Amino acid sequence: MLYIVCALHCEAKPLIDFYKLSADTDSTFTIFSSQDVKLIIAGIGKVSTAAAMAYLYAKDGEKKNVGWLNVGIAGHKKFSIGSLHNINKVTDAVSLINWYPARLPNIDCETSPCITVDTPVDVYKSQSVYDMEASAFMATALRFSSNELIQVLKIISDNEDNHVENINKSMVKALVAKNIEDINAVVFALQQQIHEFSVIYGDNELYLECLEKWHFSQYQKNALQRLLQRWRVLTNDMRLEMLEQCKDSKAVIAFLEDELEQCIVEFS
Amino acid sequence: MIQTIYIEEEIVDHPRVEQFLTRFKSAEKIVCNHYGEIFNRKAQNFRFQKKNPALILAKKHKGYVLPAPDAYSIGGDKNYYFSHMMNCIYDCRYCFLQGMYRSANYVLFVNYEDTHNEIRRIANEHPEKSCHFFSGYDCDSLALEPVTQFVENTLPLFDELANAWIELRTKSTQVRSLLERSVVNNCVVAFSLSPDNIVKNLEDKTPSLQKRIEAMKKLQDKGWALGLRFDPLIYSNNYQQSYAEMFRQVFDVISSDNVHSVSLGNFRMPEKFFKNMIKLYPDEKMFAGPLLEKEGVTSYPDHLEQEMMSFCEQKILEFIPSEKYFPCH
Repeated sequence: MLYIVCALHCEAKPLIDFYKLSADTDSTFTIFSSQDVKLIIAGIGKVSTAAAMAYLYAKDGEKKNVGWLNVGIAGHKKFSIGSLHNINKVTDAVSLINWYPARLPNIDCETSPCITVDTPVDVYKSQSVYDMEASAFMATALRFSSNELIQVLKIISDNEDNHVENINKSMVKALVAKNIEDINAVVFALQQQIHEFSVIYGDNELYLECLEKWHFSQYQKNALQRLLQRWRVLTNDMRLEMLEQCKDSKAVIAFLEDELEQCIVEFS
Repeated sequence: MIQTIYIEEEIVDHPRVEQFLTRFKSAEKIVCNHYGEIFNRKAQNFRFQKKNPALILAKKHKGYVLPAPDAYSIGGDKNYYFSHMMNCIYDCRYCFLQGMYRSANYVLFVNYEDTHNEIRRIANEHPEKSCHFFSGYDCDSLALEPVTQFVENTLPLFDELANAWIELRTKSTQVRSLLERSVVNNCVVAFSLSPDNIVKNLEDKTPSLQKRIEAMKKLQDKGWALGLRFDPLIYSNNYQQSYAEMFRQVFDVISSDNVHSVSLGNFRMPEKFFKNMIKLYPDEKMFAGPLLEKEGVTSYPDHLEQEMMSFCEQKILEFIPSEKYFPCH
């Protein structure tokens, strides 16, 4: 699952259309979904961003191994209006804390550092792009996921020649729409990473079947998970039938421990 | 190929940084305050980073040279270790680095001279003692030598220090810089060696056993002292056959006269590191095998450890005199 976080509806609209997302009803924040993408419209600023992300994460069942992508507009001294930047460093202008989103391979997109400010700026003091959400996005996303699954994309909406007060909704929609293919390349790369994470770190089916069939304490769940991982690696046998004679969770664990003792470790 | 380089702001103008940036012209450069902002942060995945690690150029401020653990000796009176780098270009599944570090990015400390000064100070402080300095604890000593030139910069120091020895620990075949210079008599080039089946299954990206033996042969022919490090021993059903075959392959080519020391040790891992390693690699066959936690350390059961150690010890002592043998416990 990939979560996309936008501050404004006009930033989100081209993405909603491109990914054919449907609006979720009965939601505190506006959320659009498909089977593998959820987009939340957070509102402007750090507090709104963090609140929306926490809401989405909790509402969707606190899923592990999900990706997070922030797409939004930003300002820069000289970058041309409409240019897309994959952010490689995020600095919070108040706390001066830095975050470094992981670099995705094979992404052909300009990269840039980003400074997150609390109020809009029209004097761009550094060579960074300026936004109002990325630091909160990074701080929050890293609570819920791994840095390899987190990306920030910013589209330049204002610079020294085109001031921030000239920005309007239709312009923002057009800027995002213009970059949709490049944004999609990042989405695709992130989804590949998410898939690999899920394959390696997702719960295995037999584990879930065992939890349904017998009652395990949390301690036993941890033991079972590791025993089944070992069992899968050494035997490649993941059928529930092998456990069917076990009458309770204790017997399942004892059976697996006994069987694993007999397993042969070979490196050919 | 390095695609991303992080550079601490403090050393942006350091001549070695300029040199690395020239070498990796197309890499994305990102300035950071301190390497720890990237390297030490939680919520990152060592396994995924290992696919495409970044290079972080940093300055070391303390801990240039540290006392080695008690068991870490090849006959010196005083034993120390140091690292010019953190992490390794190889991907050995049993390596403790993946359990110890949160990041697989390479951190290269560019202020080599501070380490040199500390080595000189320690050696001069103990003029009557033999001081051994082990390189290659947090990284492979030679694997990135064409880029870092750390060894090339460091060996001249040992020409000056009569009571100091340096061990370069490696799995690499990057020995050209050693072959092109005069032998340093108080340097041991120590190769970590494993049977072919272990190299293939557990030492990803490393040169084959045969290639390592060829590199050792070249050094031997030039007169460099060699170290042989059979550590860690990895259990498999057919370990006796594969280790016996490896010892034969090695000692067919390497003469015991050129061997400074041989060490042998079982797989052992602080439990905390091992737990991290399982989380990263739940699908790893080696970790699914007969490993136990004993007093905070994960290792094979005692009977298996003793069996493997005594088997390998017996085989090794067929080829080398016992005074060159250093078991690690």
